[in-house]
Order: sequence, then C-alpha cells, then structure tokens
Amino acid sequence: MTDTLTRPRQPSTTDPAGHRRAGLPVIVAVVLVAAAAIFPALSDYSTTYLFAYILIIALLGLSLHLLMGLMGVFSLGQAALFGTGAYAAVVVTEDLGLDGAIGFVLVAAVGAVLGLLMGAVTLRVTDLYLALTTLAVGYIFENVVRNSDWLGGPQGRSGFSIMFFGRSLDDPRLLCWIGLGALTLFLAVIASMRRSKIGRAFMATRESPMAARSIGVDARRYKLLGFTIAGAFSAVAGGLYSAWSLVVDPSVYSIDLTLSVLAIAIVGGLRSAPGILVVAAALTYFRNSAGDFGVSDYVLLVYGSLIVLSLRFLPLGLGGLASSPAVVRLVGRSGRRGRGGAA
Amino acid sequence: MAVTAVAATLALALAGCSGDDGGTDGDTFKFAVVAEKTGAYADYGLQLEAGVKAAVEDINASGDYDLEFEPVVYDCQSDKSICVQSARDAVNADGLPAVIGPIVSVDILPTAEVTERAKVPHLVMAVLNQITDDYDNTFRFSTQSDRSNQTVVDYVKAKLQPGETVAIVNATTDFGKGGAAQQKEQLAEVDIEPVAEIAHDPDQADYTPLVTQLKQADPTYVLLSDSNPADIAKLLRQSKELGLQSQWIGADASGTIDLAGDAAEGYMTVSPWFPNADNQELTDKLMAQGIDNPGWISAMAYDATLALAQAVQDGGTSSEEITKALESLSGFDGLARQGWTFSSDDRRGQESSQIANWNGQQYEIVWPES
Repeated sequence: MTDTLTRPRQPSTTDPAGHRRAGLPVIVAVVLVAAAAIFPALSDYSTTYLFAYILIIALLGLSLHLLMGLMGVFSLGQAALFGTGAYAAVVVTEDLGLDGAIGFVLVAAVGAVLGLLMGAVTLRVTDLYLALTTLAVGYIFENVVRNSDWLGGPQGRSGFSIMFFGRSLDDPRLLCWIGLGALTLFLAVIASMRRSKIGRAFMATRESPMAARSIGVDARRYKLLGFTIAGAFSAVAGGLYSAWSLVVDPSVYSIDLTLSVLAIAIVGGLRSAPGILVVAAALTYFRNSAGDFGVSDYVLLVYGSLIVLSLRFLPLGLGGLASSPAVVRLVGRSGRRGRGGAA
Repeated sequence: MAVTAVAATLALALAGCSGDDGGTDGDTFKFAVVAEKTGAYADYGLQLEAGVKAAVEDINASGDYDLEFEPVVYDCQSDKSICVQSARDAVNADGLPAVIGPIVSVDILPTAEVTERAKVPHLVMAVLNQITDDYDNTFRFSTQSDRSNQTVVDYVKAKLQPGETVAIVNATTDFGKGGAAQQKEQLAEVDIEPVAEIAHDPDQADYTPLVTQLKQADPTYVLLSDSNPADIAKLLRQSKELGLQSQWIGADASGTIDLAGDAAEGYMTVSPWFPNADNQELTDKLMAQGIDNPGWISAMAYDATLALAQAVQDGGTSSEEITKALESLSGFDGLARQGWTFSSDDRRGQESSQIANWNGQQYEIVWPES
C-alpha cells in the first residue's frame, strides 16, 4: 500500500544542508532539460525525427501515468483525446490561420474540455465499465470524423503546414523543442501536483475512494481535474503528431495506439514517470528500428512478452524496480559495505 | 522524480539510431523502396519488393544502362508512422532521389506528403484516385480505382442481354463504399439500374442473409467492392452452397483464390495484370524472387522499376531530372503492361484494367476481348 496522505518531507528551514539537497534536483533537472534541448541541434536528421516521435509518445504515456498511475482511473480513451488534438491542430493552424504558439493553446483547451466531458460522463462508472465507456468515446469520435467531409472524411486531411513562431514544424528540431517543452511542462505539473494537496487527493482516491470521501476528499472533482489535465496534454501530443506525420486521418483514433501506449505504461510502471519515459523511448526506438535489426516480424511478440514478464515479475513495472525489496536490500548492503570500507 | 524522468528521456534519446549515407554513388544509382515487408500488409509489400528486385536484376544484367541500379529497401512494417519515417529517412536523411512504394493507400498518403515537399519523384501502385490527383510528384503504375470500375461497367454493358440485371455488393469499408458509389454512378451513365445494392460489414462469419437477398433479386452479375480476401472467399463459398447462379466480378484481393478453393471457379476479377501462360516469362522472374503466387503488385513494381531506369538513363540522376523524364515517358512498354504514358498533367497510369476468369487452374483474360 502506498502512503498517500502523509505530507511529503520538507527540508528543514534551519538546515543549510537541507537547502542544498532540495536545490540539487532542480539544478540537475535544468541541466538535463538543457542537454535534451541541445540534443536535436547536434544529432542527425533521422535521430532527431525519431526523438520527436518518442517525445509525442512519452506525452501520451505520461497522461496514462496521471490517470491510471496517480488517480487509479483505467481509461482507454486516450486515442479520442489524441485524435481530436491531431484534427484540432490542423483546423486551428490551417483553417483559422493561427500560429502554433497560439493554436496549440487552443488545442490544449479543446483537449481539456473533451477530457472534462469524458470525465463527466464516466463519473458514475468504475473499473471495466469506465474503460469501456472511454473506449466507446473514441469509437464515436472516429465515426464522426470519418463521416465529416470538412475534416477530409476517410482520407483525412493532408497538405497542411503547421507553423510555430512563423517556422514550419516540418523541421524536426523545432518539433523536438516544442515537444520537449510540452513534456517538461507536463512533468512539472505532475511533480508539483504530487507534492500538493491535489496529488495526495489523487492517490487517496486511487487507494480507496470510499476512505478518501470519508476524510472529505471530493473524489469526483479531482477525477474531473485529472481528466482535464490529461486531455489537454494528450491533445497537444495529437497536435504534434499531425505535424510529425504530415497527414491526419481517422486512424489517429485507433485502439492500436491506445494499446501500444498502455503497453509502454505497464512495462514502464504506471506509477512511475521515469519508468514510462525510459520504456517509451526504448520501445518506440525498437518499434521504429526493428527493420534495421531484422526483427520486425517479432515486434508484437516482444511487446507481448514484455507485458507478460513485467506483470509476472515486476508488477510495478520498470519504475517499481528501484523500490523493489530485492533492489533496496542490494543497495543497502552495498552502501553499508562502502561506508565500512571507508571507515 | 522530474530529474530522473528527464534523465531517462535524454539517456535513451542519446542512444538513438543513425542512418546510412546514400544517393548516387559513383556508377551506382540508389533509389528508395518503402514497403510493408512485415505486418498486416506483408503479402503486398513482399510482392512490391520482389517486383523491384526482379527488374533490377534484369536492368543490371542487360548492359543497356550507364549505371548500376540498387534499391535501398525500408521495411515500414505496415505502420503508417513508420512508413512516413522511412520516407523521411530515405529522402531527407539518406538523400535518395526517387521513391517506390509503399502499397497501401493509407501508408502512401503521408509518404507522398514527404516526397512532394522534398520534390522527389514517387512511383506508386495503389488505386486510390487521390494519390495522383493531390500530389504532382506521384506516378501511378497501375490502374486507378475509377478506371478499374469503368472496365467492369464496360464489360457488363457489352455482355448484358435484355432481361438480365446487375446488383452491387460492397463492404462498409472506405474501399468498398467508394467503389460501390463509383460503379453506381458509372452504371447510371449507361442507363443500368442495379436491382439490388447490399452493403455488408467486414469480417462477418455468415453471409447467408446477404446471399439470400441476392437469390431473391436474381441478378445476372454481382459487382463486388471488397478488398478483404477472407470475406470474398466466404461470399463465394456460401453463394455456391446456397446455389446462387449469378456471376461475381470483384477486385483482385491477394489470396482469395486459395481461400475460396473450388468456389472460386468462375469468379471474375478485375486487375491491371494476371499471371498466365501468355506472360510466363515475367511470372518466372517474379517467382525467382521467392514469390509463390505473383500478382499485379509485383508485376506493376517490375514495370515501375524499368520506367525509373529509363528515366534515369534519359534524363539524369537528380530528382528534378527524373521527374521531367518520367513526365516525358510516352508509350513505354514494360513487361507487364504496354504503353505507359505520363505527362505533367496526367500521371494516372493505365487507362483500363483487365478482367479474368479463374477456371480452377489459371486466369483466362475475358476483357478486353482479343
């Protein structure tokens, strides 16, 4: 059972060492984000383009981390939010002529509203019924889009160019930077929420909705908030995908996308953002480069095996590895040995 | 948490992949082949690759060309995202001046976006009209959908006797609905009103109600718009079991004949090319590339590669020179089809398809009549 209600430890205000410990992660984070931002400028075209795709998938994976990992809401509706974001990006930038800097804010708003609606219609259902309801929303949207001539019908929309600050997102470096910005923002939102009342309410609701309500947590309000935030970032991921793939068609609503991102989240660890990011990068790289290794016939076999092995041996996924008793014991033992040696 | 997360992304991104340098290299002309070699459409992608490789072997062995030709094959795994990435790798990273493939329309459209923006000529085999309508760098080596449907309507019009009737059956897929709409419109132009129009959802286990409806309407010809071999096979089998006497005419869906077995006997198919005794030479070349049942995709890929080689020989090795040379191609005879003609205004490929009857052993061309 995860400890959800205990307030996170705060550094002592009178302890200078505590200040240093609290500041260090921020400095490291800034350095890493800066390094990631420099990476697209230094890498070759193919790698940069693949990195952009990894960032898009990671955004979607993090939305599952928020919904399933933090809130315990089993949603299969991410494709509906992602697909709507993909179409919305084309409409606001191509049809309305807005620059992406403003357009993507609108895309996020559309995703947030849709997420809110999805949360509202699923307030009274849980577990399997909730999963099926969110999945059904995706089917409804896919059917509406497929039969909408102004959205291109079955063939979708193509021939658009999404601009950001007057520059085309055809440039994979720019796409990477925008994606990295969105991912960093999402991580910051999740990290700050985890340390706040909202995060504790999310986790309390996840562990026991009834117990959470008994201590005054309004589970419904927090569920709507979670869906809204996940919707906004899923839609942004969809918008970036439009710029990445150059064509948007009803296949963006496909269940395949949801399932592949779900696989990433399960193997990475639904409750672990770092685990999801590592696995998103590893599996997306593997999936897109499987032909180079001559294993493209076995991609689904690998995905399936990873899920089975993960559920059997690492129920909390890769991210749970660090907190698994065996690893903790191992680390503790080596730590004691190190201190003993130094003494 | 945020630190670890960002570190994780960066570390894995740094472990990314790298692409090979390509393009024209000395006496070798390299071009891209983006194909669905694995995944759901692997049958089609492998046919495409076999056609290209068979042609390249013949081109290089002929001694008629100044350059050696070498296809650089990208397996896009029947996944649209990987197809678009492969096309970007081919033209933007590897700098290849021409692209052939992929096969399936949903994969072609994003790759055509890539090649059009890079101004790279793109040779395709798919039937969707939109591909050559919307992209002025594409060259179709097949017969586009409306022209294939027109071939069927021309056949029906020529054969239909007084008192005989036509029905339309289609899958409720994009391919099926689009094909049925075109056929209905083309039949109306020759004053033929279908006696029945029946749509069916794909992947049904039982088509008995549909066949029963057809028996009641009793059409002479059933025009079928369905690209799913398993569904076509089920329709043919259940029609035979229920004693439907109508003549089915449908699209060439790879694998249908094997799946339908005896029920496929008498099934008429419309396609740009059929393997038969008259074109054994090409069939043998394609089979030598490891394809057991060569179909129109491999044959069209063979002709496309021949045409690309001719364009390189005539025009040059840059994308611009190849595009101009392809637009000037007129009456070019491939081994599968003759008279490939393109211009800057018309890149739609063949004017018409062929219709063949499966007699249980091989295809017999019944239209156009020789």
